[in-house]
Amino acid sequence: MSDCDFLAGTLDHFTEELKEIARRDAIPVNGIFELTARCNFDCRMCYVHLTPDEIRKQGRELTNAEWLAIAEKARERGMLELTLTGGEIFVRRDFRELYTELKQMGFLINLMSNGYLVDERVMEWLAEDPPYAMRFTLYGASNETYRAVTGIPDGFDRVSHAIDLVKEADIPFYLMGLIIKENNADLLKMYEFAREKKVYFRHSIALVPPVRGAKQDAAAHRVDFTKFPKEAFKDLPKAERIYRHHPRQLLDCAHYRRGFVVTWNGKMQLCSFLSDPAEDVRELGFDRAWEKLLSDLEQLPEPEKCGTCRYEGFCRRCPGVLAAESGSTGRVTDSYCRQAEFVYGIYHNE
Amino acid sequence: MKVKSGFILRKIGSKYMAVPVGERTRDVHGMVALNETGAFIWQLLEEDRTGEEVIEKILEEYDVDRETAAGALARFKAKLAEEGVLGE
Ligand code: SF4
Ligand code: SF4
Repeated sequence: MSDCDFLAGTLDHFTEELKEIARRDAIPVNGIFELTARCNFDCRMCYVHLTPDEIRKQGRELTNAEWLAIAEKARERGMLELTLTGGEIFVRRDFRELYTELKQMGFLINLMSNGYLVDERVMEWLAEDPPYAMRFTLYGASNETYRAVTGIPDGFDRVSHAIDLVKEADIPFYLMGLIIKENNADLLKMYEFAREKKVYFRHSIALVPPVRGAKQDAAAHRVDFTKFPKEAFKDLPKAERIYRHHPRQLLDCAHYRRGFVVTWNGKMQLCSFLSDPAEDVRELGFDRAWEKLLSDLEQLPEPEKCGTCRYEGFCRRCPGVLAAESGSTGRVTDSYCRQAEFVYGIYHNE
Repeated sequence: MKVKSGFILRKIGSKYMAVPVGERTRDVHGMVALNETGAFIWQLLEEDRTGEEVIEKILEEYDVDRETAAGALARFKAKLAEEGVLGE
């Protein structure tokens, strides 16, 4: 027995190895439970949240007992990291009970929230039994901007206070800014705000069009970087090539053969954005749903055009976003391709 | 000496890990990654056993001499203590 490093190396290395094994053996190590399509905000660009009418049409939310049964099966198959998201998770009245039970099962649990409902009462139990990590989406740096984006007049004050509470409780925490036309002017202030609060912040302008019956209009709110003047990018450090070739779009998808989402009404998908294939977990059970998802994904159509496209190395080619944009992973849209063409142009000084 | 309560020992693929649950997540963030031998000894350390008993079990399972087993156990415990997962 040499110094048999009983503790298996550093965690990063360990997790990387685990990810590789998971892809090779199709172990669903990453799970996302989309607990609800309801939300206390009414964001103009949201891809998921639904009106009560639309929810009734599409089924019903799974109960805590149903979620726990899925979690148990998922654990047997190897789920380790579990992300709880919505809609807004804290609008579920029985969220605390579900969370507490899930926490007993041996998962690393991430919570995604808009933060508005995280108050002293929530923190009392959450601080006792903290998640692995927590993320709020930040929509602006003032109440006015919050009103313009989310429809809620005191959003910024409430979220700002919630951030203080989470920090006090010492819960690993970060902020994600979703930038649209309505809050674009706040971007630098949002970075400043995060610096003051001493929390990690990054932002995204990648707006995904609504899926599964959501009605919001992404195109009307998207910050279209292809309309920016080219001079804005002239000082950008240019790597030889920023993306590598993807022989198949799925190979670059973080979830392919190792992750899944279960939607609020019980459908297992590759990710929240890609709603076909969708397997009914209540009908098939977890194991069969996972296996069917794996085999259905092998049939996923790929756009022919990509095979010979000169911009391919500069294109994200995420199947989820592509499907949300065009209605199928097998079709591209001009606006999607224009982004890759634009980035290609910048890198080639065209 | 035992490992603290409040962990679930898991095996995913060929990987082993001890994941803190409930309130234990307050003092151990993430998980303790283990290899197969580590997981074997971890299980022994979940119960109240003397060091001598643990060494006996290691000798039953692995083809090593007593001195090596004792040294390895001491190093393992030191690492666990460093990670803050060893109790009284
Ligand atoms: S730019 Fe369009 S055609 Fe080219 S790789 Fe991307 S999605 Fe395919
Ligand atoms: S389809 Fe795209 S967004 Fe969905 S998990 Fe894969 S890479 Fe991520």
